[in-house]
Amino acid sequence: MEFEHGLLALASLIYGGAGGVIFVQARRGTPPGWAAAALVGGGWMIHTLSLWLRWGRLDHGPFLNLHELLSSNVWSLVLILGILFWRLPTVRPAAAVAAPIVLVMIAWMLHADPRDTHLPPTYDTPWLYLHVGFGKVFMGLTLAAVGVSGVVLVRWFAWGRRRFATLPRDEALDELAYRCLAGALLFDTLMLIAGAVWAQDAWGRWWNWDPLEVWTLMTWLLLALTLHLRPAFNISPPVHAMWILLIFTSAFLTFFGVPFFSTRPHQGVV
Amino acid sequence: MIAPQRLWSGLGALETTVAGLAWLGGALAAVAQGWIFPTAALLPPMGLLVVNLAAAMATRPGLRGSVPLLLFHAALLFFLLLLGVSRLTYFKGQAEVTEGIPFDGTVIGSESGPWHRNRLDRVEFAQQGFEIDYALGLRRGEIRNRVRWRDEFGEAREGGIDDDHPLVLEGYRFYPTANKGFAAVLTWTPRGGVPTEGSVHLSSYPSHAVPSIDWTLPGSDIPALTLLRMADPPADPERPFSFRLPEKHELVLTIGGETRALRPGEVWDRLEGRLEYQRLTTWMGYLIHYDPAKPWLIVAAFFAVGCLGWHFARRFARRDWTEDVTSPLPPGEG
Repeated sequence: MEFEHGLLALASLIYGGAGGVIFVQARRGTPPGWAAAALVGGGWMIHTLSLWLRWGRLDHGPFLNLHELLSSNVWSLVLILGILFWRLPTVRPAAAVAAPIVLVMIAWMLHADPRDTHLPPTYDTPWLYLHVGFGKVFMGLTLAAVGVSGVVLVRWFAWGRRRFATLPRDEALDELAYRCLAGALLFDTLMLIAGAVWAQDAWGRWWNWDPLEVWTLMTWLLLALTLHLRPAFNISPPVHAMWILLIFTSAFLTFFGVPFFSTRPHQGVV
Repeated sequence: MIAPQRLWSGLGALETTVAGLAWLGGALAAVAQGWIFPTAALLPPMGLLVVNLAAAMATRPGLRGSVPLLLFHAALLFFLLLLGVSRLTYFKGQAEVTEGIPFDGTVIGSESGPWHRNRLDRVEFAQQGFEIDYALGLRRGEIRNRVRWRDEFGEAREGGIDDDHPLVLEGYRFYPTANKGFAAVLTWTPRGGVPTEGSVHLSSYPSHAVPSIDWTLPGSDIPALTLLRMADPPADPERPFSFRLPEKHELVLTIGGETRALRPGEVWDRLEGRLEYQRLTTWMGYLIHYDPAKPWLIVAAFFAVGCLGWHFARRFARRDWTEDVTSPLPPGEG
C-alpha cells in the first residue's frame, strides 16, 4: 500500500471524528466549536498531503477514476464549507446538515478502487484544470446551499426546531442559500465554458451530447430555473430548499453517477 | 384579441422564462433518453426563450434599470442566436489520409448545417507520417503528426500538429486521432486496362492486433480480404513501445477463395488482372470540425458570466452577509 493511502485513511478517520463532534453539538443545540474546527482542519491538512503525494507520484491531478474524483471533491467540499462556516459563524450549526453528505462520500471513497491512473494526451491541457476547478467551486457552493436551506427543512419537525433554534430565521437562511446558489450558477457556467474549450481541442468538438454533458446542462437549467422561480412565484423557503436539494441531487449524480454508469461519458471519447 | 403591448409584456414575463426553462429541461431529458434528435427537441423551447429574452429587455423595467443584468440578458440573447447560426453552418466529418498522398476532400461520414458551403475541395495538405509512444498496457501518448500544406497565400508549408493543436485550413480544423494504422499501397492493372495505384487502409492499430480490411478490386465487384502478417509486431502490451512500420511483414490477400502472401514488390497475376504490392505505409484518421460561430460563442459566454457576476456582486453588496442576512432569530420565533 502506498503511504498516501495510509494518510487518506487517517484523514478519513479524523473527518469521521469531526462529524461525530458536529452531530453531538447539534444534538445539544450548540454550534460546532474549536474541537470540530481542529479535527476538520487537521484531517484536511493530512488529506492535502495525501493528494499532493499522489499527484507528485502520478504526475497528474486527481480526477481520472472514481476514487480520485471522490477524494478531490471531498477535499474541495471540506475547504469550501470550512471557509463558509468560518466566515459566517451564525450558521455554523448548519454543518450538521451538510456533514452527512461529505461523510457518505468519504465512506464511498474508501471503498473505491485506488489504483493508479494514466493521463490520456487529451487531458493534458490547462483548460481541464480550469474546468475541474470551476466544477469543484460549483459543487461546494451547491452543498453550502443545501446545508443552509436544509436547516429550513429540518425545522419542519419539532426536534429540528429545538436543535437549530439558535440559527437565523428561515427567510435569512433562504437568502443566504440563494446567494450560494447564485455563485454556484456562475461557476457552473464557467465549468461548462472551460469544458467546451477543452473538448474542442481534445476531441475536435465543443459539444457532443454525451451523457455527462447532457446532465451537466440539465443541472445548469435546474439552477437557472430555481433562481427564476423565487422572484416569479415568490416561493416559500421550504419549497426553495426542496429545489436546492433537487439541484444538488442532479449535480451529485452528474459528477459521481454518470461517468461510472454510462458507457459513453467523457472517458468513452478519450 | 390580446393587445400587442399586453402580449409582448406577457412574453417577457418571468413566468414565461420559467415555462421556457422547464420546457427546455423536459426536451433535454428526452434527448438524454435518446427519444428525439437534439435540434428538433431544443429548437422550440429555445425559440420561446429568445422571444422571452427580447420581450423582457424591451418591457421589464427591473431589467432595464440594471446595466449588468441588461447586458447579461443581451449577451444571453446573442449567445442563443449564435447557437442558431452555429447549427445552420457547422460541419463535422472524418477523413483518412495516407502518408504521402494529398487529401482530396473525400470524407468518411459527415454531417453539416443546411447553410454550410463545403470548401473541403480547396483544402490542400498531405500527411507526412506520425510518431506515437505507448506506455505499458497499450496506453497511448501524444500524437506527433507531420503535415505539409498550402496556406491562404498559396505558399507551401510544413509543420507538426498534435492532439490539441489541429491543422486549420479554410476554417476547417483537422484533428489527428487515435484512429490510425497501416496502409498497403497497391497497383491494380486489369486485363487490357491501365494501371491504377491506390492505398488500402488496414484496420486501426494497435487496437486491432492483426490489421485487416475487406475491399473490392478497383473497377470490379470482386471482394478482396487483406490482412497484415507481421514477424515483429511493434505493439506489445507488456512493455512501452513506439508506433513504427514492421520490419518483416507479408500482406495476405484472399481473392475469390484463393489466398496469397505478398511481400513489397511482389506481384499476383490473376485472370481479372495483375495486382502488385508496392509498399507498406501509414494512414491517419482525422476529425474535421468547422464552426464559424465558435469564437463569438466563447466571447458571448464569458461576457455573460462577467455581467452576471457584476450583477450579483452589486446586489449582494447591498446587504451584509454576516449581519443583516444571517441576523439571529428574534426571541419567540423559533
